[in-house]
Amino acid sequence: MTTATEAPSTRRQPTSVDTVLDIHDLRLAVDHGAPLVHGVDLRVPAGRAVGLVGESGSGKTLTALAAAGLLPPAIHVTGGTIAVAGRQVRDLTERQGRAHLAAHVGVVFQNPTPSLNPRLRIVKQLVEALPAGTPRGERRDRVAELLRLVGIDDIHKTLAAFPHELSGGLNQRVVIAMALARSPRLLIADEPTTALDVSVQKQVLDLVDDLRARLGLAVLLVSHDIGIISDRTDDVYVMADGEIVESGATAEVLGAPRHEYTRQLLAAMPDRLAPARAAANADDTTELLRVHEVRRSFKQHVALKSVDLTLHKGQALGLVGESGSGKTTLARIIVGLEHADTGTVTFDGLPVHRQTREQRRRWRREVQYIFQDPYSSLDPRLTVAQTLREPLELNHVGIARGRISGRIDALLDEVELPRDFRDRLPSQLSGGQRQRVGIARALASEPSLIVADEPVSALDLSVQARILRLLARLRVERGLTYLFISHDLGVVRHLCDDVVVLRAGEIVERGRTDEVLHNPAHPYTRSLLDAVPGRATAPRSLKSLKSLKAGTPQ
Amino acid sequence: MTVIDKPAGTRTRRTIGVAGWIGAGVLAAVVLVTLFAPLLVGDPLEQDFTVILRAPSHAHPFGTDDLGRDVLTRTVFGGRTGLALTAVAAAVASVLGLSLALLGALYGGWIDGLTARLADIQLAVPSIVLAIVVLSFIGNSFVPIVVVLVLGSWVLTFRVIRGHARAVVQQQYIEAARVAGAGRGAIAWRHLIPSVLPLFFVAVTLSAASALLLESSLGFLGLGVQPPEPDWGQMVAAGRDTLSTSPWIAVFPGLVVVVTAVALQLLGDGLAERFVGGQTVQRGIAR
Repeated sequence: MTTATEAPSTRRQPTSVDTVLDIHDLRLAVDHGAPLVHGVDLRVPAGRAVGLVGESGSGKTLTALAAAGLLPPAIHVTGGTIAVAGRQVRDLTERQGRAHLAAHVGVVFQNPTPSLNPRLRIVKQLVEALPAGTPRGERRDRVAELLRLVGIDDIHKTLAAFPHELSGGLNQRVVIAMALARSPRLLIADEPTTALDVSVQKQVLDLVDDLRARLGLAVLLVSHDIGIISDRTDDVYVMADGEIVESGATAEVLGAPRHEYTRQLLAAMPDRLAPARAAANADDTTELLRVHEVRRSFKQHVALKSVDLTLHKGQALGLVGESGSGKTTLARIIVGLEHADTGTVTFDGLPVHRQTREQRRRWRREVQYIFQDPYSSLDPRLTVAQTLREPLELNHVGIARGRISGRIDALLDEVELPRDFRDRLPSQLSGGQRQRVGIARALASEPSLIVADEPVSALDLSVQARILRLLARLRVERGLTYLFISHDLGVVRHLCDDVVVLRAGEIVERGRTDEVLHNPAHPYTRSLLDAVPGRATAPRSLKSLKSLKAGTPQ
Repeated sequence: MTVIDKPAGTRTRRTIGVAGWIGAGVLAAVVLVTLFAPLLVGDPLEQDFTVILRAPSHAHPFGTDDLGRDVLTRTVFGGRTGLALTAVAAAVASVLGLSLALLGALYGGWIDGLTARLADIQLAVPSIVLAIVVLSFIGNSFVPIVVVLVLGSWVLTFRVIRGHARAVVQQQYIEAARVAGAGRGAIAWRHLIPSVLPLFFVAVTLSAASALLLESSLGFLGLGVQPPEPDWGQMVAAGRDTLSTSPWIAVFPGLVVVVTAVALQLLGDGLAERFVGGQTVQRGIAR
């Protein structure tokens, strides 16, 4: 807590009545091991939203879990105090403490799915969350009231449903309803929308804002996303390596960050990266890929209804849309992991489904795919070198066996991984490093077209920025053509010359990225843009962020 | 060049455990004794009518049977054919189960359906009834007995491997391999087989246990190894009539079957613990 003293607003008197959560000098450590959190001070007053921001591993989630009394068994509080609703948790017995926290703290986690039991109907799970001793006759009304509170309209249908029958956004609302069931005074939301689409994200965050205002809740919002923090919180604590490095009113901290780490976090936001596109040879108009009237449906559900698309050599085209819009299906059809019901995909003048064996092999080499999930897209048993060897051996690249090893080194250099990573297993790599391996694998067969399906959405923000910079550099160096799929318009703006907006299997808008993003013609594009965090509600701090960009070391 | 991303986790190593080692030790002892039987004891067929139905003594530790043959000698020799049958059958059954499971997982559709139905049918028919029918018609030489044992134990491997392989085929790295130019053969060889191999070894030991028990049952029913050649199951059947007066004739070979089967099970469980439940990756707890 080096700089906490520089932020006098957070160091007023000790626990006052309106401070719902007061953490003082909190220290956490593994059983007999390294300290994880050293001396965190944090206060959340009633009716205010406080942000806790930092990268993975910064200790922000542990701090939040400690406040909720939900630390994993291997981690212990080794010092400091936590006061919730005016009572020191330390002074209570374990049992009292549990009851006290259960009564006053509601928790919402990142992904709603593990928080819900897949085999129980929603109504049962909500009844379970009600305070003990709620009269039997009132339970159903109380539960319906909770759903109304979180803005669910079709109450009866929702109550009777199983979690898998509801969308991610609805499930997250149910989880919030569960968190509110005991009328808590503090709501801890740990990355509550990271697993959700931007437009759903907005709805859920609006809901939290609204509940805070209506119920006078104290909200602790834990996130790695500076955009969300800047939109949604009054005060912010920036955490790095188990310490609070900076804190204060959100607008001040993000508008004029004093600590180097805060500046890095801000610089990492994709929206604020300088566009890296102009460099590529955009004037080459040779057609590389044409998708013509492609349709695809799965059983009853129509995923794509007649999609047309062309890509020129060297172009970077962004494909934008919510989940369920068909963008992943389209990408899979283009790389041949899925087939189209009707319509054609033409690569370099040749229809893919009517190629000779030799032509097919060439297409297989030249069109490569970068997967969204860097975890399941690498075989956990293969070392980095073995993974990279696969396309070199199988894809008829035409390299002599003896030269494969040298090629692997060159590929590692190209994606900025140390050469001695060759013998590492995926479990020994971070998400960003895994994705670099995935990119190297895609590059191995010297492709001309790379289809990247949300290649950074599973990564931390600062890692995202590094991967995007890598992709931009590779495009220039190798003259690659990109089809870049994302729900994140900031990412698309950073990398793509043109953009296509897909909605429910149809293209609703297309054009130059700048034009579409600045002047969207279709209402759906506009709603996607509005949903981007860090855009709608904090124009002042955003402007100051942009001016800051110039002086930030990249 | 800066790479600041941190490594995600560390690995912990597991062992097959005390029980697994005991199983392996006992199994090794049984196999070695059976292999070197001629060096350790005398002729299992030698009859001595002066010592009929003698209780265990210093000269005959396991006693003698109704023809004056030494039960210890016959027990030591009794595993020779039985263990050979079991080993061959377990190997063939596991490879068959593995192949059908991989075919189903790789091709899906009707091939997967067909193999799964075959397994269902196999499970619905009691192996012992099938054995009686087959061996009564074809006769009981080595190959028909192996066929019967294989039919009775391939489903175990098939089911275990199929479940895992179907899950692996869903993984994105299989799709990544397809994009990297791998056909079905390359996917099986590079990704699927290495992934199911630990499971396969577990399945082999468990199949061996079930094949051994089935082989002993066949011997007991008189459908397996024929007298006078000794066989554990057959010896148990021979001693059945005199169980109340001279229990040692049936009890010792029966005990050896039980001990061997339990040893196989312990080894299988140990291997499962080591390889399948193992390889746990301790994830970083902090987000």
